[in-house]
Amino acid sequence: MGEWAGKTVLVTGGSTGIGNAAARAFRDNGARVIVTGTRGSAADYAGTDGDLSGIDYHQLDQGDLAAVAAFDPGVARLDALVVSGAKVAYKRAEFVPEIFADVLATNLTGPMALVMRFRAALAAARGSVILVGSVASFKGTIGQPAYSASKGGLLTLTRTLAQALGGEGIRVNLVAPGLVRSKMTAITWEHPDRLAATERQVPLGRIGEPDDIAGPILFLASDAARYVTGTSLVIDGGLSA
Amino acid sequence: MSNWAQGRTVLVTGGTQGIGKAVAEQFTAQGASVTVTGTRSHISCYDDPPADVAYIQADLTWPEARAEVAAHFHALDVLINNAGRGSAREYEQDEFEAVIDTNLNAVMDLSVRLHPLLKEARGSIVNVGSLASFLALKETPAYTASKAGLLGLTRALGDKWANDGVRVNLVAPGFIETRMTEGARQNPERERRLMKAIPMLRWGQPAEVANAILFLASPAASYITGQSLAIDGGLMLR
Repeated sequence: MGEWAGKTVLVTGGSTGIGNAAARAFRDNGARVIVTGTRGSAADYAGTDGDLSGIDYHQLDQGDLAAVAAFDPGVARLDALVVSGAKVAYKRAEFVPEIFADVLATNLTGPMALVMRFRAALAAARGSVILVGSVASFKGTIGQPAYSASKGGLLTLTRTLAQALGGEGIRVNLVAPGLVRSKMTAITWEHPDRLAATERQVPLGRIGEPDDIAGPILFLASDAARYVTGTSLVIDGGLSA
Repeated sequence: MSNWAQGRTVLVTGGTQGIGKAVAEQFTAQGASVTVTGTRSHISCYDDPPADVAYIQADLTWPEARAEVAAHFHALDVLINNAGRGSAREYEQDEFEAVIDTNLNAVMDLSVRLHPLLKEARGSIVNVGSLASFLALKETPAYTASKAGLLGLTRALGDKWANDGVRVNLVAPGFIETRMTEGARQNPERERRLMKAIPMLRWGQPAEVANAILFLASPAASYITGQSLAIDGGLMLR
């Protein structure tokens, strides 16, 4: 309790799924937590897996550069920025160039814009950035060219920003979850046959839960990881081992 | 995350100095029951050994010593394979093989011997690799080969034992301020060149590696297996 007391954390895509699990974990450890989501207000997440109690909610489309530049949650010092917001399109839609570009805007250009928007606040706190990548940062995903390109891009963006911002005391790392039970992946885990086929491939024998990713995010953002920067941590139950 | 280690049984090989010592101390501080191995006859033969740990003298290069260490345990939650060494003679075949024995064969043997206990505890293993798991250190081919081999071993054991609930991961420290790297720090020109290669522009501390090891051994990392984590101040980015 309280390791994060007096500290401020911003989690984009923090209203549901992995982002919300991270936001809750920071909150439970004493941080002031701000999250963004796509819906109008926190109340719009009633009935989802999101828990926004004690968390400051803001609506933000992180793929909209002007909106990111204008986004002002009132933080002069930011101890951790977790970029978890992302989108994916199914049924071969990502093979349509306009949709490809839209996914890239949210998943790659948006994260870069967010880091630049909060660079000064992160430097003021000697804070750190956690980008949420994916096992798709390392491997192709046959039906999702935009998603995998964006997540692969986040991996090298992590490395480059770690080099570029290290001198300002800002660490930048990436977590790479495997298949995690969330709204975005429902298409896979809601289907019993598809779920069973997936779980057979995971050495630990199950798909991940959002909380499985929150612990590693907190670790990488914490002072315990103060000599860790530019790295990626795969959390996939051994799938890619 | 705090206090998960309370009452757990932990073995840290090479736990008398440097990174191993820092790991032993952090586990002890969290209330774990910690055993360390070292090559000297008694723990008091070390300058500043960790306090409140059990000590076993063992040169893990030898299979008999590994068998003896494993026989000490009736329960084990966490195995930290930290013991390792480099040598100035690694281009001589006998020394090459001896270093591989210490750094790689011993890890396999000890892990297999202790696997039944780790399985019973649904415990975990953390292997101490190195930036040499990924990059060449041309003056120490055995050290480099053994640490790269340890990465592959981590992946294979991580997959093999996942069904038993035993997780296996690796940390890859960069340049850490320990006795092993003292030579470089005593040569200002060499130290200046090394530091230029590190984005954070400084040596790492043993405690900073220990932090990552405790994390990987903890329930916070319960879905992580077969992975490696670099603690290098950004060294491998360049």
